[in-house]
Amino acid sequence: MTWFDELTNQHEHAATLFVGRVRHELLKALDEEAVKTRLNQSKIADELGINRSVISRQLNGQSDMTLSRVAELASVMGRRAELRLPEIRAATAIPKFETTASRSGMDETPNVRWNVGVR
Amino acid sequence: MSTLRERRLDQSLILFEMNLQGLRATREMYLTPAVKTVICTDLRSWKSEWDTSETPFKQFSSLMDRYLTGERLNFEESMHVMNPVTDGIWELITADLRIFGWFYRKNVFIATAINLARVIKTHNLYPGYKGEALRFRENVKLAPPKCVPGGNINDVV
Repeated sequence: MTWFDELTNQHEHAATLFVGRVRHELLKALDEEAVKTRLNQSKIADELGINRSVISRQLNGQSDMTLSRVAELASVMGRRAELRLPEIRAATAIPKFETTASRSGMDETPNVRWNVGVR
Repeated sequence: MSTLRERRLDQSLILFEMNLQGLRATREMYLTPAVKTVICTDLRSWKSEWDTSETPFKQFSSLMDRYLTGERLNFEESMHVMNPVTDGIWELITADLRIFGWFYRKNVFIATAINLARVIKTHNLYPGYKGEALRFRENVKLAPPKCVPGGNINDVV
């Protein structure tokens, strides 16, 4: 445990990284779709019937987004939001985290994996 | 000696490490002691000016997660080079935070200041923080070149 880890607790930290990684996966997917289909935040907003500023704030972290919004954004991008919660293998496991889209370099023996990706 | 290891030993630079939830760091972040002090004493109490549950502390954790694990940072306005770009001073950006510093080598950032964007804008602290980064870089004992020059994001991450 580092000095920074001692400033928070592991569950709060796990939640923080999870939220950040979900948002990051959405942004990566949008970036890919912008190249492939010229999709942008205005078109997403039109599709969902909401103001573009709402989408912008949610994607840049100035506003929270619900799980429903995550799925809606994925759907507009022609993708499926997916969350998997594999069973914990050891009682003393320290939760590990992985996003499926582009992560690599996992520890060799993770006890738990959270997987979330926008596919 | 003029290596990062030596600067860690004399504590003029501090390697930033955190629990990456099973992922490995592929980039490095160094802090001045002053930045570490702000993180330890102030960051936890800072409030967001936005309608979000992500406090500046959480925003910092998320940004460090993306940076350290080697994720792309060039499409969500997470980084910005300050003018003139030839100085090679960068801001790392979250909704509420600005972190100032420079890249000693590609994927090796040295942070010299961190503060709330609202405070920086209100008091026009950008020139001061940029000057602080330049002065620290000039004085710190590191083997040249001391900086990745220019403003091309692909040169630094």
